[in-house]
Amino acid sequence: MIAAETELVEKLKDPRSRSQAFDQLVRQYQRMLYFHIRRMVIDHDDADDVLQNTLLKAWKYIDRFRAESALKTWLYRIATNEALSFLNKRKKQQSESVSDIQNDLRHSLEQGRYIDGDEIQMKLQRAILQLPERQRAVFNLRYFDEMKYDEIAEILGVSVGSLKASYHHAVKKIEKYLSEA
Amino acid sequence: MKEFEKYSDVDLNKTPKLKAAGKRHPFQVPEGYFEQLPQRIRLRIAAENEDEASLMEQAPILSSIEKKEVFEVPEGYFSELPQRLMSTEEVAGEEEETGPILSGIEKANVFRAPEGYFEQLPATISAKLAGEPPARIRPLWQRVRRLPAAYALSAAAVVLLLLGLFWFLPSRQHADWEQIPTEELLSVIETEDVDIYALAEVLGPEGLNNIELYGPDASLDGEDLDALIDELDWEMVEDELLLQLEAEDLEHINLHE
Repeated sequence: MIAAETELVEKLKDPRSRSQAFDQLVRQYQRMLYFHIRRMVIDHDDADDVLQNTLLKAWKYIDRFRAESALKTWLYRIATNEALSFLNKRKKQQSESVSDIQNDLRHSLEQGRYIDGDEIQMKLQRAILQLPERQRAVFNLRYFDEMKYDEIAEILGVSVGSLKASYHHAVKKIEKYLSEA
Repeated sequence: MKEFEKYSDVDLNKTPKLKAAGKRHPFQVPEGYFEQLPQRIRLRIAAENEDEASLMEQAPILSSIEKKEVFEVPEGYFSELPQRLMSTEEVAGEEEETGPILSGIEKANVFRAPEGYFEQLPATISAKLAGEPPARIRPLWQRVRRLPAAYALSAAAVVLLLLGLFWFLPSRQHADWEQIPTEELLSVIETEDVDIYALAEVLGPEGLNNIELYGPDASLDGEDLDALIDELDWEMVEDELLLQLEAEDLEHINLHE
C-alpha cells in the first residue's frame, strides 16, 4: 500500500479524523467508481443511486476494511456488488428476464442522456451489453479501467485463470458482434 | 544515421574561440600520483585481507564453513520470469489477436456526468452520513446476544445447521460439502429467515465480502440464494467454523437456543 493511502486508511480508522478522511476518500475515488458503476447500469440517475449506496456502505463498514487489500479494490468490490445487486433487484421487481434488462439498458444507451460517443464507440457499448453482467464487469474493468487480473480477481472473488478465460471469451463475443452488426 | 554521428564532424574552424581554448582541462594531480597508485592499491588490498584474516581467526567455526549459496530457485524460474511478468502485467494490446476490430477502436469513455455532479457529491454524501456512525464489528457471541430474538435464533440456527452438517457427514473431508443437497441447505436457510450478516460473521469476513455487502435486511430468496451457494467456498467454511467456533461461542449460542 502506498504511503498516502496508508495515511488515509489510518485516518479512517480513527474516530476523530474519520469524517474528514471519508470526505477525502469520496473526492479521491468518486470519479472512477462512478464510471465503473455507470458502465454497468448505463443510466446516470441509476448510477448516482448505486454510487451513493456504495459510499454509504463503505462508510458503514469501514471497520471491516482489511489493510492487506487496497482501498481501491475494496471500494470497487462494494461498487460492483451494489451494481449487480441493483440489476438483480430490478429484474425481480419488474419480473424482467435477462433479455428484458438488456433491452432496458440498451434503451438507456440509445437515449443518449449524458452520453457522448461516435458511432463506432456506441456500437462497442451495444456489443458490451450483449455480455452477461459479471462478464461485462470483467470486460469493463480490464478493457476500460486497465486493471491487472489479480486486482479484478480480488474485486470479483474469482480466480485469475477464470478471469483470463472470461475476458478472452468476452473479446471474442464483442468482436463477433462488431463484425456482424 | 545514429544520433551521435550527427555531431562527430563539427568543424572547429567555424568556432574559433572554442578552437583557441584547446582541448585542455584545468585539473592537476600531485607529482608521481599515477606512478604510486598501483602500489597503494596493492597495500590497501593486503591490509584488508589481513583484517579479514584476523577477524576470521576470532571466528574459527564460521571460517571453517564452506561459503556456499544455500538458496535455490525453482527450475526455470529466471527463464520463465519475463513471461510470467508479461502475463500478469500486460494490459494493453492483448485484444489485438482475438479482437482486431475492437483493438482498432479508440478507447474512449462515452459516459458523462451532469455538470457539477462531482463537485456536489461529497457534500451530498456528507449530509447523508451526518449522525450515522460506522457499524462496529463485534464477535459472533456478542452479535447473537444483542440481536433481536428472531435474528439471534437465526444466527444460532445457521451455526447449528452448519455444525450439524459437519457432524452428520460420514467423513469430514471438504469434498463432502459438495455432496450436501443444495435444496436441503436452501430450505433450512429459507425457513430460518437467516440474517445474511450473521452468516457472514460466522464464516469470517475474508472470504465472504460479497455476501456481507448485500445489505443487512437482504432476504435470502431466489437468485440471492443461488449467488450465496455459488460464492461459498466450502473448504474455507469448514476451516473458518473450526477456527472460530470456540467453546465460549458455542456456550452463548446454546443459551439462546
